[in-house]
Amino acid sequence: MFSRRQVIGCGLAASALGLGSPLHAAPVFPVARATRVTHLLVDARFDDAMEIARQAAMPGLEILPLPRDVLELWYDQLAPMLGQARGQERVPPSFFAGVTTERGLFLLSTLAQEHRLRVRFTARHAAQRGGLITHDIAGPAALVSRCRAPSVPWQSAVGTALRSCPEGRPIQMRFSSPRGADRRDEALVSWVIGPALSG
Amino acid sequence: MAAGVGTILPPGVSADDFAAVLRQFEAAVGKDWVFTNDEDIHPYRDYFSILKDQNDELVPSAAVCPASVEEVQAVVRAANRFKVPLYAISTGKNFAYGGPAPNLRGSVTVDLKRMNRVLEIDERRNFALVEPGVSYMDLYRYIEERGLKVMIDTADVGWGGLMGNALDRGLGYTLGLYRDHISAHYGMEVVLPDGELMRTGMGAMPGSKAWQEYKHGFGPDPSGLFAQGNYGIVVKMGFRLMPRPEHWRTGLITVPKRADFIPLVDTVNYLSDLFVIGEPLYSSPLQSLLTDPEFQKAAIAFDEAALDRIAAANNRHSWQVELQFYGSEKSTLANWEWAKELILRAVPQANCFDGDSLKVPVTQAQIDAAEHPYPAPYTSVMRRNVMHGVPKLYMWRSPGRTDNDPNSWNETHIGLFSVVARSGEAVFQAQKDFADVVRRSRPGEQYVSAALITPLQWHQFGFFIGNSFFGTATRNDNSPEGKLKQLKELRAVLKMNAQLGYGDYRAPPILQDDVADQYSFNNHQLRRFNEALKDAIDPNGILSPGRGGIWPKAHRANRGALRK
Repeated sequence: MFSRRQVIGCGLAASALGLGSPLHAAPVFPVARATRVTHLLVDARFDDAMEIARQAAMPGLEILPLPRDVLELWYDQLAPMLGQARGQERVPPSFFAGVTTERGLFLLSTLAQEHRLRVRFTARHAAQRGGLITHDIAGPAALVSRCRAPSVPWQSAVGTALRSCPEGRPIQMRFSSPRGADRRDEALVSWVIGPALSG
Repeated sequence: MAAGVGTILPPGVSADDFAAVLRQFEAAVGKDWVFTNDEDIHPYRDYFSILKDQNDELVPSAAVCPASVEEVQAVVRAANRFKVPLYAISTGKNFAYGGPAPNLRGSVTVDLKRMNRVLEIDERRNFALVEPGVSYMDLYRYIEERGLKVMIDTADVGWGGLMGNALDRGLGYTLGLYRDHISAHYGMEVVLPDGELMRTGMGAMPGSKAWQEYKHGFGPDPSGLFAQGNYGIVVKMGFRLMPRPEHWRTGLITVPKRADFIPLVDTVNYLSDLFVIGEPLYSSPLQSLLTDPEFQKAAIAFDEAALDRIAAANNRHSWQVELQFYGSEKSTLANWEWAKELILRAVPQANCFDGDSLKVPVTQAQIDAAEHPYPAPYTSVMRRNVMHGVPKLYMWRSPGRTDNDPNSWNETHIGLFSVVARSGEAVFQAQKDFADVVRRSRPGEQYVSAALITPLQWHQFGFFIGNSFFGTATRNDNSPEGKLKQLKELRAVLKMNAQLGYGDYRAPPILQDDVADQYSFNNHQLRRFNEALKDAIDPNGILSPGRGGIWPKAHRANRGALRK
């Protein structure tokens, strides 16, 4: 298993991240090509984020550790994937996802706006007193509903849900689950960014 | 989403005329680059607006993205035909000062991001000519990829545009000329309110090859009108670039007593005005003593003897300044030795500590790790990346409000940075004045750390001092009512500051009228002059009405309209 330092330092692919096979398999949904998430950014400082990434791992999904400064990641990897240059239309429809802090989402969503991409889905996971985590989820109904799967840890459900972003009527949902080993104080956000509906 | 976003009209424009002008915009730039629906307008809202989702939030009615000078001209001419106000942005990332939001609700945003070419760069003559959409990171990458021996002076957050930052009088961190971004501009090309194209400086001389080397040309130089102004849309801008030095060196000077700050500033001013040093960074090593009730009492009372006694008892000096030197290894060492000699003449009890001594270009690892950390309790406050012209985003610490947490708050838009005379005495007076402003606006409260405020010398020749009390104090009340209360308080503070002779250097749109009010000499003659020019140059008042507190005749009734 790689340490966080190695993950952050090397930008390893999913297989090298040692994400392995998930212990608890959430239901797997067919992923239409047009809505497939191609990249998942993970803030490797947090156990929950790493677990979500582990659950999301699948062929064709590139998992990238979030560096301390996202600007170079954006210029080197994400922006070229999204289109020729800033201000230009993206070439294929592109969805990318992440499990980051609010700050990470803000920075990436702001950069993505220049490619006419918007935040399509968010799930905010905030630790509460009493050993619980609340999940505030908003996005297409089909995606939101996948985030809560009975008898499956929430990281599993969210991770597999992040593989694609179907269209659909936006809804919101909130639920709580027991807090695991991750002792973080800062809220994490799982999110998907994709093309503007008007585009 | 605010009521009306995507459905509001520009003020004074009928629905039919708005539809007609949008068709003309589409003809000019292409249908794909004219935005009117809520989702496409969303990025042009101020993410941190105090008025978010309220009926007077400063949102645009539409956005248009031209890709060339000719398209900008066509957009401006169309806007003139229908008297539609426009608001031009380059990258729109100035989030601390309103971001992409216009001064006048319902304006059409002219987003220049598609004009993002580096047009020319010369590493022998040390200049670049860029379009509005070029960000600091774009230019940095351009330079690095070609191995050019020049460096940029970047703002704190590297996604911002050179042009937008300079035109808002943004500042940086390296040598004096370069860190004053508008002063580092050399030559502009501007689309005027009637759609005509003008060049400033030697650019007005056909065939001149010196456009980026002598910016005044002949006769009056109007380039100043376009900074914090609304007289044209700048579509090209030249910048002087710092040649890459061979070496970078830093050092720390500390002085023991409160009164030693005065000769310390005098010494640094001397070095700075001989252009020997880059941006100096002042701070006080006594900050950590603010938890001590006895020290708090001394600080609140500005009791110099007590402050000195407590500092000595804690074995620390009262003030420090970090100096940075760019040049060769020998010249930076000689200048540092000279700086030490000068301060020890003025304050024999000063201490001097070597910092970094690095061959340039430095590596990211060298930037991240100080070569010689200073001995405790002294620490560096340097922003090391920007001092090497490396644009980053990690200075952006706080996202503030998000769609998930719409009432989250941070102190964006509440940064008061007043211009203060560049002396130790003036800083001491400002400390007392700002403490007094806090007592008057919040009876019963104290600005405990006022006695330790130090100036920022972002500008070559001026000090800025931030009254951080109000920013910090807002964190406890995230409600919309709390924010409006805070806004009212800020307006009162700006007035009090003005009465004491402290004007702000920059403001978000929501406070620009209040800051413009501060500059009131001779019955606001400066504003009257600016508005006379505005009415002559832009008779339909279409370009960025309200920017810099300058309102054209057609929209002058909007001055102060947001005061609640």
